[in-house]
Amino acid sequence: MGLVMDGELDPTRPEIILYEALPNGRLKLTGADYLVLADGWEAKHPGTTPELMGQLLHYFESPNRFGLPPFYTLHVWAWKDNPSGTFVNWHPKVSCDGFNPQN
Amino acid sequence: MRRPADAGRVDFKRCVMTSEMTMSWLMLMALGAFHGINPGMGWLFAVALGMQERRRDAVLRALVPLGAGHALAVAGAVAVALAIGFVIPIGWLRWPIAGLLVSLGVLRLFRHRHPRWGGMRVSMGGLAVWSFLMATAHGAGLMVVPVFMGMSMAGPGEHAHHMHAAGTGAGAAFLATGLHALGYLAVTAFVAVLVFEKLGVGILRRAWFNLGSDLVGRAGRDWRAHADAVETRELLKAVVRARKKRNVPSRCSDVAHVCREVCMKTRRFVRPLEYSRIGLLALSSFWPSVALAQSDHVHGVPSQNQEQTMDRSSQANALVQIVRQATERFRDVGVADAEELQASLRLRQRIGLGRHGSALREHGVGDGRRVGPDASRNHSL
Repeated sequence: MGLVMDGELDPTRPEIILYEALPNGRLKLTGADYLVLADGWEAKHPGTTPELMGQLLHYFESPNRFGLPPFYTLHVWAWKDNPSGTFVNWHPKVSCDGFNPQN
Repeated sequence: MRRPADAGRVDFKRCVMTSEMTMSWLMLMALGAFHGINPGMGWLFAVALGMQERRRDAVLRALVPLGAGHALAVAGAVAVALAIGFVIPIGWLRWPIAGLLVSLGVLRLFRHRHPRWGGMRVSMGGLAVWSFLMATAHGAGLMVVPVFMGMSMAGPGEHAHHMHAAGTGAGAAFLATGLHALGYLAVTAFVAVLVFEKLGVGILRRAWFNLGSDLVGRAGRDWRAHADAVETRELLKAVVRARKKRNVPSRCSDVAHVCREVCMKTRRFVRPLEYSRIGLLALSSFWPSVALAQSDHVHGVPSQNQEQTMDRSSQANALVQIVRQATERFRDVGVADAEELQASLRLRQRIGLGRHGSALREHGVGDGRRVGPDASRNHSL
C-alpha cells in the first residue's frame, strides 16, 4: 500500500505483480504493474505525466471500475510475451478461466 | 472501457502505420531498382555473358550470382547496423551514417578510382564476389541501412517495442534485404534482357547516362575521370575482346567511339546529377526522421502506444530486464505473499478484487479483442 500511495515510481519496485491463474490452480508470473495515484504524483511532480524509462503511464479517471481515485498505471509483461506489445494493458494470450476468487 | 467509436480509430491508425511501412518497402525496392539500372552494378555483365555464349539463358543465369552478391552486400551492411544496435541505440547511427554517406559522395566528387581486375570470363562464384564488391564499393548497403532503420522504428506501434530484440530485428533485416534485392533483380533482369534481345549495347551510345557513382567524378574537367564511364568502357572493351576471341559479330563496332560519345553525353549531366546523387544519399539517410515525424503526427497525444524511437526501444528492453530481476523471486507465489508487495495486493482485495487474480480481472486479460492502444490514449479504459 505504501508503494501505491507514495507518489513515486521506482522501476525496481513495481507496485503490483501480475499472475495468470492456470487451469491446475497454480499461478504463473506474467509481469508487473506500476501504479501511482494521480493526486500523489501531481503533488510531487506538478504538471508532469509519469513516465518510466521512456514509457508513459496510462491514466485512469475516476470513477473507475476499481473504485480507485484517478491513477496512472503501466503494465510490463516481462514474463509472458505479449503479441500486442509489452506495455499494453491487455494480454490476448492470458486467460482468467482458471481464476478462482476463493483462493 | 473502450468506447465503441474507438474501434474505428484503431483501424485507421493501423492503416496509416501500414502505409508507412509500405512506403519504406517501396523505398527499398526503388533503391534496388536504382542500383539495378546502373550498368556498373551488373546488367552489362549479364549482357556480356549472354553475348559470349549467344544465349539468353546465360543472361538469366548471371542474374543469380549478381543478385546474391548484391543482397549479401546489403545484408552485410544491415547486419552490421543491427549488431551495433544491440550495443547502442540504433537511432544513434542515423547521423553518423548520414555523415558517412554524404562524405562518401563528396569524396567521390573529387577523387574517384575504380579497381580494375578480372575479365569478362568469370565463374558464377566470381561474379557473385564481383557483385558483392561492386555493391559494397558503391555504398548500396549503406543506402539501405537508413531505410531499414526507418522500417524498424516505424514498426506497428506497440508491436515494435523490442525492435532490436533478435526476432524483430532479424526479420526486418531479412525483409529489407529481400525487398532491395527484389527491386534490384527485377530491374537488372529487365534491362539485361531488353538490351540483349532488342537494343544491344549501342543503347549506351545513344541514350544512356550513368546513374551510379560516376556522377561524382570529375567528368566536367576530364572525361577520362568519369569513373563509371571508364568502367563501362572497360566492360565494353572486354565484351568486344570476348566477341573477337569467339568470332562473335559485334553490333558495337567502334567501342572507343562509343565510350567517347557516352562520356561526352554524360558530361552534360554530371554536375546536376552529382547533386541529385548526394541529395538521394541524404534523403535515404534521413528516412527514419521522416518516418518518425509521420508517426508522431499519426499518434498525436503522448501515450504509451506512440511510435517508439530506438532510444525508447533500448530503454524498453532495459525496463523489461529490470522488471524481471525485480520480480523473479515472485515466481514463487509464496514469496510474494510474504513480502511487502502483499500490502498492495491486500489493498486491491479490500476494494473488492481478488488477490492474485486482481490484475487479471482488472484488465480483462483473456479477452484479446479488447487489447488496444487506444485504451491508454483515450484515458478511458
